[in-house]
Amino acid sequence: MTPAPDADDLRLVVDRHAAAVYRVARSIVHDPALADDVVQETMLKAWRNSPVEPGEEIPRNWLLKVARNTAISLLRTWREDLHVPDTMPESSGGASTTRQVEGRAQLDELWKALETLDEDARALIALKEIDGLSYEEIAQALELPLPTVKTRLFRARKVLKDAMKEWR
Amino acid sequence: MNARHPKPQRLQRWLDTGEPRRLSRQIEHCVHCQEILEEFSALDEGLVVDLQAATSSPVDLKERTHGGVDLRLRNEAAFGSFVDLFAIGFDFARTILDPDLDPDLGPGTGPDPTSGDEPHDGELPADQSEGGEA
Ligand SMILES: [Zn+2]
Repeated sequence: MTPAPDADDLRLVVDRHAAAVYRVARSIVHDPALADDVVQETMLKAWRNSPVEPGEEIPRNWLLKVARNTAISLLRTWREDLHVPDTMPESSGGASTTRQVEGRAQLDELWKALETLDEDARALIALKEIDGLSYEEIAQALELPLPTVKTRLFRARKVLKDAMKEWR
Repeated sequence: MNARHPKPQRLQRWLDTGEPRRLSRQIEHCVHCQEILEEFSALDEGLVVDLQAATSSPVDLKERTHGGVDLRLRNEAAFGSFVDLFAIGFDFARTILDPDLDPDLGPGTGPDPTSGDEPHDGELPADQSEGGEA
């Protein structure tokens, strides 16, 4: 029988992985408060259902897969509750407060571009460009074939590049 | 495997438009074409910095997450106790309202004294420690 996880294990998972999970969550759901929910739910799932023994390092690919699934699930619930099938929540802007106006407009434009991508494409961008995972790690995390990961990422990057051309 | 690769202009068009769709399959099977597209689609440093800024975690994320998961665990435990209390109340009401049940013996007659399954007054089942989903 697997021993029950203890509170120290939970603290460790949060301390080690919260930031990476948040970035993936944020890229998928946009709204900081919803991203917080994703992080907390992911941490509890990881703590309770960890594929490794308590105290051992949780595999990052596995954790990010849980994060991605949780984010998509919460986003769908949010959409169903509000009856808005294809939109993303507006950011309530609580995370960073000292952005300059131009920088803010630029980030708003970037979010608009991200919104044109589907959830998996946004997760691909976050995992590759922000968390720096390899294609193989991403394929495992998103349960997609390796060639599909590459072709989808090429196209997603292009969409972002085109959208942000004026700002470069 | 692929002796003939699409011309770079054709790859660029696929990157811009996703067309022709059949080229996707060819690209998926050709490392050489993938390398070209990797170069064509590479994000400049400024855009990566913007992406990082857009998705950056708040400075107090760890504290917030610790607080959030603690609250969720406390709520789960409180809800579990509430359900247990409700179940006890329900059993008690049933023994009063159902004439076929002997209030002293509870549901079902002739309990096995060795089973240890009988509920004891004032004792709640402690079932919060296990995750239960593993
Ligand atoms: Zn080729």
